[in-house]
Amino acid sequence: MPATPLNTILHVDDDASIRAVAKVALQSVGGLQVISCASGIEALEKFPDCQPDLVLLDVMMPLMDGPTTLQKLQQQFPNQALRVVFMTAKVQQKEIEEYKALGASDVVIKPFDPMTLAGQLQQIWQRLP
Amino acid sequence: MKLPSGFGKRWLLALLILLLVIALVLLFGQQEQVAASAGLRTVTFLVLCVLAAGCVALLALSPAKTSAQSTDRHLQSLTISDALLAQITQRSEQPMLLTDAQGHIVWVNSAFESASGFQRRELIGQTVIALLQGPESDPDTLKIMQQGLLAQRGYTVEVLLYNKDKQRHWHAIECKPLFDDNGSLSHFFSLHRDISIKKQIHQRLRHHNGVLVAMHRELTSIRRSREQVMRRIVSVIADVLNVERVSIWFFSKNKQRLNCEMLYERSKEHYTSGLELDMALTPRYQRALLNERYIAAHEARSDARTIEFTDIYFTPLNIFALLDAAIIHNGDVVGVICVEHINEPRFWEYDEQLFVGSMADLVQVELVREERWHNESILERTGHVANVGGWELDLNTRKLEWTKQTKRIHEVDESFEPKLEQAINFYAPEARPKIQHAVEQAITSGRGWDLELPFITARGRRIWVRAVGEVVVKEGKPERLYGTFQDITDRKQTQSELERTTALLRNVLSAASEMSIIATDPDGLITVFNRGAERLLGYRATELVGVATPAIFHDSAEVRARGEQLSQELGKPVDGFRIFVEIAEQRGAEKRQWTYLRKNGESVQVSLVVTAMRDEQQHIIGYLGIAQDITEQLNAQRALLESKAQYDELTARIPIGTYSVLLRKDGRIEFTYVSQRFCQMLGVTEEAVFENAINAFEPAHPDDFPSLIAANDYARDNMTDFRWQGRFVINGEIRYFRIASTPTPVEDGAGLWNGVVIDVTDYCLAQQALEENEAKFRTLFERANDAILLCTNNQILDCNPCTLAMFRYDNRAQLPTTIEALSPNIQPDGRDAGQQMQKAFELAARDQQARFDWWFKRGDGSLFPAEVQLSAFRLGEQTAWQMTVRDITGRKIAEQQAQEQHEHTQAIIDNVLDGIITIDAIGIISSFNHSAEKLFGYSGEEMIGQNVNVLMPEPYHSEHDGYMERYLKTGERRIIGRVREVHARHRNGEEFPIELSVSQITRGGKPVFIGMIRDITERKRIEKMKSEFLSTVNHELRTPLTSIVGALSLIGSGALGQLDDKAVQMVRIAKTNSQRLTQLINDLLDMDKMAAGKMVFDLQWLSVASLVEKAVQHNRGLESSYGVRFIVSPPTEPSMIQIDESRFLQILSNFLSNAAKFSPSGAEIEITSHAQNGEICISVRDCGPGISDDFRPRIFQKFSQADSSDSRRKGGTGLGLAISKELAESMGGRIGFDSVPGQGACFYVCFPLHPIQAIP
Repeated sequence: MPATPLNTILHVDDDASIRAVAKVALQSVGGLQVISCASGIEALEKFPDCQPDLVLLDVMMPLMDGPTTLQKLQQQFPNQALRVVFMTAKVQQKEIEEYKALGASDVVIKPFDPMTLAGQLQQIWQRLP
Repeated sequence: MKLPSGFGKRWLLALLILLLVIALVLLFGQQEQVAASAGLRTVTFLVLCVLAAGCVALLALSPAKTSAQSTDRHLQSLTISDALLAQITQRSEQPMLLTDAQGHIVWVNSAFESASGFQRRELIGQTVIALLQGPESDPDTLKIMQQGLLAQRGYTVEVLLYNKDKQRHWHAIECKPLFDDNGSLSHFFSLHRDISIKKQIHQRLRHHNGVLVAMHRELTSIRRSREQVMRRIVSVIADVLNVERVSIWFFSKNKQRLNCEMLYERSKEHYTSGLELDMALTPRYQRALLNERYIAAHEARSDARTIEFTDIYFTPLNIFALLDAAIIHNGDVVGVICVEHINEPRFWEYDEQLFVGSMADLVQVELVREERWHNESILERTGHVANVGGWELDLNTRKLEWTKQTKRIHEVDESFEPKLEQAINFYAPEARPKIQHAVEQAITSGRGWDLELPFITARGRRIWVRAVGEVVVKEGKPERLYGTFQDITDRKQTQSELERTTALLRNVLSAASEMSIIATDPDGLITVFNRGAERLLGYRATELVGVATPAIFHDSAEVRARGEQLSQELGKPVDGFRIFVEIAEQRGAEKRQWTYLRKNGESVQVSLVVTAMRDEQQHIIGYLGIAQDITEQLNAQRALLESKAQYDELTARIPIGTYSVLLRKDGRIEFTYVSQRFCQMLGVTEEAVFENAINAFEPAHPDDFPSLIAANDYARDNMTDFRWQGRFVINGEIRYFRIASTPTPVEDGAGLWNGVVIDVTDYCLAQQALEENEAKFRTLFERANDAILLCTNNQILDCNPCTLAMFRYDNRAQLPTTIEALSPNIQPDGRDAGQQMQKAFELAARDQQARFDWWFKRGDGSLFPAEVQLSAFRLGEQTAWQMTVRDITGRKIAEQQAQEQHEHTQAIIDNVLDGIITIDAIGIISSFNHSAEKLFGYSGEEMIGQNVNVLMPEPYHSEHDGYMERYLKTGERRIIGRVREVHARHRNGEEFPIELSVSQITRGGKPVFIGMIRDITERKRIEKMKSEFLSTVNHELRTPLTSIVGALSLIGSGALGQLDDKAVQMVRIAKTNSQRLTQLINDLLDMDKMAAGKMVFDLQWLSVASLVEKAVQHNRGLESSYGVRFIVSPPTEPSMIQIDESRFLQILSNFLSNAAKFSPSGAEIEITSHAQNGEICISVRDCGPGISDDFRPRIFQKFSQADSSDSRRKGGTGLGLAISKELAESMGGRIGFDSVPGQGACFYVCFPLHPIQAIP
């Protein structure tokens, strides 16, 4: 478990409704700090400034999908602690393994339950090294 | 010393008598010297002499009596001498008798009684001739006997006599006259010897010799023609039996006629043939010949079997006796050898019958040989004749040429080039003039030669050769000499050995025996030493009478050895004279073989019978030794053994075993002789056969054994010929033997059968094969499905039943007689039938066979096509034909149908949309249809003959040949019988997806592969679009729903502020329906994936308990929603199953949500898992209404719900159970339920506990 408690989440999803619901779920229900991004490119821009504890990353996004965004983050910020959780409907075991092979810490399944989403992320945080 | 009263007188009397006797002895002694040959007279007189001496002694010692008493004493002394005489003669094993001067018997010894079978009283007063002669006694001999008596000189004869039981015995009789004091004839004394055995041996030897010589000559000489063989046989028989006419006849096929093949008239030395005899004229003879096999008519003109010939044949030709032996071939009488004796009746001896029978067998052997011969080439024949070489001399160039065999006989290298002078020098010096003369004679006179000459080979071996030479004369001048050259050493040796043996035997067996008689007193002093003894030992009686035994003529070493032996046997010392008499004294007599030493130093073997002579008080008064010279007997035995060895050696050279067997009336069988060859053939030893005759029969084949025994019994009971042919199992191999023998009656009704065993295996097997072939051919002919006609060029000789059926005729008579008449005049192709058929026969005559198609005409006028095969065979002098006709109407129709079918198929193939390509076993394209042309851009013409791999991209292109090879070798299939999606290569190099299915058929015995190719480019494009569409649907539908459901959850939870009750209700409705929409989308996507076979399963070994726990935890929300409670029972035992976790949870969630939905509030829902029968089942039991009967069959169908109203009430897509079933089955499990309507339902899913194959 990381030394500091989970505080800041960088949420990346091209769908505005999901961004809104997730923000309420994490911030209002879960009491976490949320920075929302509409694309991978935006996430790359915001990442250095907000220094999030965790990046919650959608997989299927136009222009730059989730895995590509993860790779770019790794490339551009090699010296920073980068903890990424994918949030996707594509959760075959094989796919999950692929995500983890890319460097993802875990996967949250879509559709998600807004009432338990924050709790899920807390559990993942506590399992992290 | 005082002498008893009258002592002086008695001594005087005794002395006078002694003087008288001595005078008599001297007188007789002189007489005897005149008639020195009468050995037995000597015996008598010497014995009398001894008796007289004994008489003197007794008189001297006995008390004095009156004159009358003196006469009595004299008589008494005579009685004693009679007793002594009786002792001597009775102990002899040889029959003896005394007759008066007229030949009437006055006395016989017991040996004569037992030999004749008559009691002494029956014999007294009879004459030997009257009493003992029989039907076969030789009248001439009887006459000699009679004349010998009349002339008072006696006789020495060998004669056949009959005993009281009419059994035949050959006797050698020595009859000598005895004269009284006045020199007038008083008696005849006869000594008989039974020589039956000797006579039998003579007979056998004679028979064996004849057969052997003839056989041997046949087997070693150059192959003769049949005519030569027949000539040889008839002349040999005529010479051996001394008869005028001998002929060989053969039956015609129907046995109605006898045709004479060879007739020999001895006095004229004339051979003829061609006589015929109609058997209808002589039915009795025919019957006798066919049934009896031998006809021995001693008086043919009155014999019932031959009487029919008397007027027509015997009388004109002066024939009196006839001996016929049937020629038997394949168990059938095929002919007869006929032996005719002229001028007088003749008794045919058994051995003579056997001899002619053997010759008949030889004729049969010749028939077999001829049959074989017929089929062999000249070259092969030459190979059969052992040791025959050839030579040729060109008289112009003097060049001499030898064949390899000739060089071999000369024992020179193959490179040896002979000169004429050299060639002559190979002959032994004494033979050179002969051969030289023969050659010169040939050159001057043109006559050839045939000589048997001694010869010395290059290696110095002395051999005998037969040299035959012929002259080739050209324009009156001898041009060449040629001939054969043969090693006949074996034959020569055999002949000379045989002659020597026969001569030796004759001498030995005709040698007379003599008896030596020596008597001693009780202490061993010799008192009698008769003429026999004198002759035997060469000492005079005067030299040995009074000498103690063992005497000078005993072999002292032998006597000593016998003494030691006796001492040991009897447990007391036995020596000196006691050695000779100890046993005789104890047991009455002892017969033993001793060696006597003649005066001249020679030793002689004797059989000595020693007896103790006793007086009336049983006191021993002396010993008598009767010795018989057995040297010659032993020599004879030895000679016989040698003769047998030589005979065996001879018989070993020819493939015939010979034997003599004694068959007794009581069934006992004793072999008295078996040849080596006999033992070899039957695989038995001589000892075994002699020990128990059945050992000879044991190798008989079990199936043939009864017939062998039956033939034996029949021959024995009827005293007739034994004839049998059958199988023996020798060393595990079946051999066929022919056994034939002829009986000679011997004592007690028994018979001695002399015969031969011939191995006829080759012949029988050839015969069997021939019969089998004939039977096979006949069966084929009768049952063939083809018409078979036997014909000459045009005439039909015979046909099989199928012919009539094929040509539609009811019987053979209706069938036309010519082939032409079976054909239409014009063949359908317009050719003239007659000419065409003629051509076909000409072609067949050239090649011995021909095959062609032909149209025939049936009896009803209809035509049919046929395939005809003509094969030539010989029928007598002309060529005949076997015409095999096969109706090919069916084949023609089938061919036409096949052609139509082919066109039909081709039309389909050409018009189908799929590409169809056929290839052979190595991948070469043999057909390429229109669609394939379109698909690949190649034309059919281009592709046929190409390797199919040009249509494949890599890696298939490179791998295809190896794949084909592997498949043909191992049968390992990759695509055959399956539909596979692969990539193909267009002519322009582009790859495109195809669906390929390959099937295999066999054409002409070779595999052919048919590939059906469908271009699936379009389908693939549509599939891709569909896939992309579904992905879009998935994403585009879910994403908004995720937001809606999330937002509603947040609102409904009150996290964003409290709502009034109505608003809360509305939010719940919105949320529930959003969830239903999500579920519907999930279910539809799942169904689509499964339908397309694209559902991917991630199988892992997982614990059932944790899976169930997880499923229940995920669905805890249902408890509060529906007011139910999930009760989980722990599994009966820890179990692992291989499962995709999420899909398993999906199934169980479906069960749990159904159970929750349909159970009343407050109900408990039981979740259990238990293992049984190798699988584990997880069950969810609810308290709902259960499953109605009408819904049961539909419950796992898509979009099925119990009823629409219920669906609305409970919600759901109606896809859940259908999807669950698909999922469970795809993961190797099964799904089901138990339900009683009104009592809830229990849904279960089961998975195997053992590992399952990975799901593709």
